[in-house]
Amino acid sequence: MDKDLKELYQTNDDIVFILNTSLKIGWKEIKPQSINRIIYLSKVLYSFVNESEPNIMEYYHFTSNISGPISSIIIKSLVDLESREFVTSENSGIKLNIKDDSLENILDSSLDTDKRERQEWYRRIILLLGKYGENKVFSFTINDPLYLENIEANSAKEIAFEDSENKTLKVLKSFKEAFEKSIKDTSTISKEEYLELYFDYVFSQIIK
Amino acid sequence: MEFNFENNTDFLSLIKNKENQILDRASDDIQESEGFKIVFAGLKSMLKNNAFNGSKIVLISESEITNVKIDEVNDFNDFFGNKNFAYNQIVTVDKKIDIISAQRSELPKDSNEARKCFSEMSKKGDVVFLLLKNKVNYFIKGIDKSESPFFSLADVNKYNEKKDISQITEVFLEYQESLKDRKSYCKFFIGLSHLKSLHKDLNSTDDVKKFVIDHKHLLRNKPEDTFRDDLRQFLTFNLKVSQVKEFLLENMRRLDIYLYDEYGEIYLIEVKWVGQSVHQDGKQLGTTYTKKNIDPDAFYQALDYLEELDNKGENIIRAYLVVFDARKEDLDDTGKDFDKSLLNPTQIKHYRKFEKLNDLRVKNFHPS
Repeated sequence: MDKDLKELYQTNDDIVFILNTSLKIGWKEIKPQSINRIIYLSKVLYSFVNESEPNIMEYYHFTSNISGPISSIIIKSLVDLESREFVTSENSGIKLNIKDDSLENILDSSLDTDKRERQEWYRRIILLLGKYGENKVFSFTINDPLYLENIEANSAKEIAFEDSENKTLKVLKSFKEAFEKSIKDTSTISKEEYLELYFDYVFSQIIK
Repeated sequence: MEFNFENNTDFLSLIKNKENQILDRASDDIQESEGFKIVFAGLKSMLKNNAFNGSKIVLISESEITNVKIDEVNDFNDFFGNKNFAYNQIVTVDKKIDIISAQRSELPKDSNEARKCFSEMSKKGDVVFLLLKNKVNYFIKGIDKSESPFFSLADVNKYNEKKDISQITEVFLEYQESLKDRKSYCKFFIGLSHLKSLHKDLNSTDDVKKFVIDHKHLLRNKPEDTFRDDLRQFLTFNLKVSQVKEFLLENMRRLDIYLYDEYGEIYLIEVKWVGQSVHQDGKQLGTTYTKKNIDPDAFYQALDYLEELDNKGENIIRAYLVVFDARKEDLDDTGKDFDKSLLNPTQIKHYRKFEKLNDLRVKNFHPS
């Protein structure tokens, strides 16, 4: 299959999974910008928890826009999903329009380990975000160090996730090191727990 | 945002102070379970999606909550619509969020009493979720776990008291009121001693008192910065917005203020003023802006910005033109006579997203 087409189908699967998982925690529809932001956060945070592994969302390429990071493949995918009537676009956001067997078929990842791994990761990120609500996804994104660095430089270039100088990874590592410096035994704090603590920290900064 | 954590002594001591809470949370199997996160996120979304201003208790056993699966759980909005949820104060649910029992019971009115009561409830093998307006607090094994290590309820309440972006006109009315306060308006105008020295510098033949009265409307040099910063600060404190700052367009023209609402949608504010300022040397009269600088110049400028951002694909919801009116006389609003029929087709396309707010009158009632 053509590489572009394959990536479009992967993105379609990802978006349907995100919409379905979000629906389960009560987010009835999601704004297109939020889909971009959820996938962006998923990609940028993946490398912190899975440091030595290649990023499972490498086919997403983001550029900075003042309303947040945008990926052209996500925009194409939303158009494709709407044309197939898998989703409907309403003023309040994108809504999943399929259910039962058709939905099950798209979500099925029994024969595709990469897809399963991505779904697992999206679920963790959505549950992390679910603690605060969809309306806070934006705040997390625009406070993301890598995105901030790009927008402050007014850079129209693609955001470089793979760079060893990736600002988000550096900040998260610095955050983790601060805990290791202050608490004698941090063995019970998993990397995902650090993410959750980091999100709590960002949230407290936003509301103060 | 602080990014250098490991060398920040305040942050390190914050962690030290919260050490027990952090370790407690990290080693709590219930709180760390996917099931707990699903229930917490679901209840939180449910309160947000539905008008709920009361308080209710949702109980789920410790063994059930850790077995909640995202593929099996019911829609939380349906749970909210369930009559048993509506008519009762305490409901017990299973891992699918089906109601298995419900009880009508008056919940404690006093906060201390309530906290004690719900803590006791949670010692009997149930996780207790307290739904209170739009908040979800919870108790596990007799311990109130509702407070995150890094934010307090007082902070959340403070945030909730801020107005939604859709109430921006109301916030501007409040700002207009605040501008009548001497402490607020005096920062825009030159002081009394400056007025007296200006009387000399201009070789005025008027009596000093008369000169002061006739010239008390004089603004400080470059008042646009003070107006913009003052408004920006007020909006930050009173609106639920994530950022309030300047933005440079590609041609280096500066948008005075742009706001992101909670969903990241963008609102622009262009700030102008009319009146007279003092020269930068402080010894002569400076710039004067009149109604013409607003109508049509500032209108067209704001529409240009909208067009430029639209061409870049930015989704701008609204652009507001705000004019500080520091003119000596009480005159009509600077936008009163704006003639829409003179707009070209491109401007009309963007005009529907544009709003000229009522002038913000600033008067130096008592020079200080």
